[in-house]
Amino acid sequence: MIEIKNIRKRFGDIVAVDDVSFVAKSGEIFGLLGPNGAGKTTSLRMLYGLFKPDSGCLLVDGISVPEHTLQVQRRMGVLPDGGNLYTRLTARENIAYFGKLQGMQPAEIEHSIANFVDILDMHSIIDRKTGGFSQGERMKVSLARALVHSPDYILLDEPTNGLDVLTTQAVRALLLRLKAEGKCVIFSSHLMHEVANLCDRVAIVAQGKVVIEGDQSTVIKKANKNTMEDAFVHFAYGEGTNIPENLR
Amino acid sequence: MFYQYIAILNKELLDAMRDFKSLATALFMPIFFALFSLGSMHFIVSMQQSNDQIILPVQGIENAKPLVDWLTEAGITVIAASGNPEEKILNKTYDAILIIPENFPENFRQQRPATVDLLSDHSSSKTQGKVRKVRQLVNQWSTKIGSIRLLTRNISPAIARPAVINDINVSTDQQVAAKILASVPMFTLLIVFASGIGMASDMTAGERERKSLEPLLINPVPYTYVFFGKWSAAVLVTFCITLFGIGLQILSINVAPLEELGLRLAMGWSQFALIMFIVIPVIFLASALQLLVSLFARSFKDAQSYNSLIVLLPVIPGLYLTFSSGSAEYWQMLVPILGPTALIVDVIGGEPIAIQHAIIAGGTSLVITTLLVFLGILLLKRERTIFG
Repeated sequence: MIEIKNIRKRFGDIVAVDDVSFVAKSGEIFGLLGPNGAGKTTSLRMLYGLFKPDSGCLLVDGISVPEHTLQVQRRMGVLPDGGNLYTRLTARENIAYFGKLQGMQPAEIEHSIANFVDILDMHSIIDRKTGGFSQGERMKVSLARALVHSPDYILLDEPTNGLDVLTTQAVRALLLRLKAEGKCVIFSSHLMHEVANLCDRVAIVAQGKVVIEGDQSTVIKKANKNTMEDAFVHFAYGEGTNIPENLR
Repeated sequence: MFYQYIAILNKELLDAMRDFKSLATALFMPIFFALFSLGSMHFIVSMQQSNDQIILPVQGIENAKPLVDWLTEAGITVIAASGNPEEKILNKTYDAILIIPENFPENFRQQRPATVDLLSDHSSSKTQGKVRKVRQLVNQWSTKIGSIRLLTRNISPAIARPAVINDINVSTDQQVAAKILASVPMFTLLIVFASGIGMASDMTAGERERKSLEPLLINPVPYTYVFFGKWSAAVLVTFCITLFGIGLQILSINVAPLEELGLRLAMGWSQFALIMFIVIPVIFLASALQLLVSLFARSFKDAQSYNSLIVLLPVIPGLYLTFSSGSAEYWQMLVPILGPTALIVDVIGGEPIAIQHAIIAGGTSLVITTLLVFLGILLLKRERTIFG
């Protein structure tokens, strides 16, 4: 279980994360939603240990992230926003490198790669250098790289951003499969149709604060709206904000 | 844990080997320097040979045949002078002209001082070497004839020579050669500082700019290992390129026609090994400094510009040692880069180096390396370094 309590992070005068708290459990897909600049990425960076929070508490399986970063990182698979591959290495070398950094043995790594080649249909690209890859191909390799060590906690920052339909479907299928395996998936997004399709529970972040947390129907009901999109606009941009009819 | 360090080292080496452009740039410098050394030595040899070649027009060759034969035997090319001699000197057609007047044979026979005129331009320092040589030869001939005349009168020629200069050249051949090769130590250290630039910038500032640093650091690997992995990779690549560069330098010294200058340089495997031994701690230092600067830089381009400035560091001690004389001194060993440069100057000059000097110079480099590595790891831990 991931527990985040009242984390806060400032950069100089700018408060990037003011007060974020949520809980994500095993076997569920948790959506961290919010407009651009709301503090989603900063919150996730604190969760995977690259930022130290100014205050608050981050626990993974009861272990404090800032105090035992490496221990927690072993249980996590992270796809950071805009994270890139090594273009002079092949897809296989990219994935294997992270496997080794996770402390896996070569045989385990090969087995895991073979598994992802099947699931994400990477047969034709696995031994090519990633330099000329399309965005979709890069995403598949990045996912396999993040998940090579079968982590229990999976953090994905904007995973379907700019992907084509087929790749989006492949990613979605993978997330559902991970959920079925009992993993905890946290994914951040500002694309509501993705969220509506996938997430069991969501937290909406606006201006560095969690404004609401709960399952989708609860969130929609609390906003007194009909769709997740309307509810999101309601919570993220403030009461009374509506999407103009002609933009729907 | 060691396994992770090896994984980072291997990956960085593989990545560097596949970066053909950077690798080609790094290899260009040693090749260029070796060719430069070879070329400049050829140039010096050819200059020296043209200096040795003295062409001396003589007016009135028939008036002093034995003197002309003496000059020819000494390697001077004697030709018959024609036209106005003064004009020929002033318009620099010839460096010197010897005029043997018509009354020379008569005076010589009568054992009166027989005069010859040596025309030259005393304001031209370039030609003075040749003029001096001709003057010396004429004086020698004169002394020889004088000695024979004294002997025929049963007088020891030594009486006519109360004082004699014994001209001793104390510089060994190798020391003269070392002056010629003074640029080699500087080139060697330039290679050390230049060959890792592309790689150091690429592994740090480049990695951040391509956004692969964040995914890397999310792995459960201590930052210390990340830094050491990258540093070791830079050290290994720099080591190989330096090995290649010094090898090429030694090859070019051996191929160069130095014996034509009368110089002999003992540059063999032992000197090669000695130079590498001196240079290895400097490689440690250079790689750490490059990584630190690249981590500090805001972008890949910045990192490359800063590192290009660092390349100039070895030029300062290099130039200092070119203009200073004498062997390596104790205080120089405590100055980074200067110490190793001074030691390499001695190795190439064929002088023995004091082992404690080498150890102190190496120690100085290692102490500074430790400091740089420590700072580098601190810098890598900064949030701003990771995200730019």
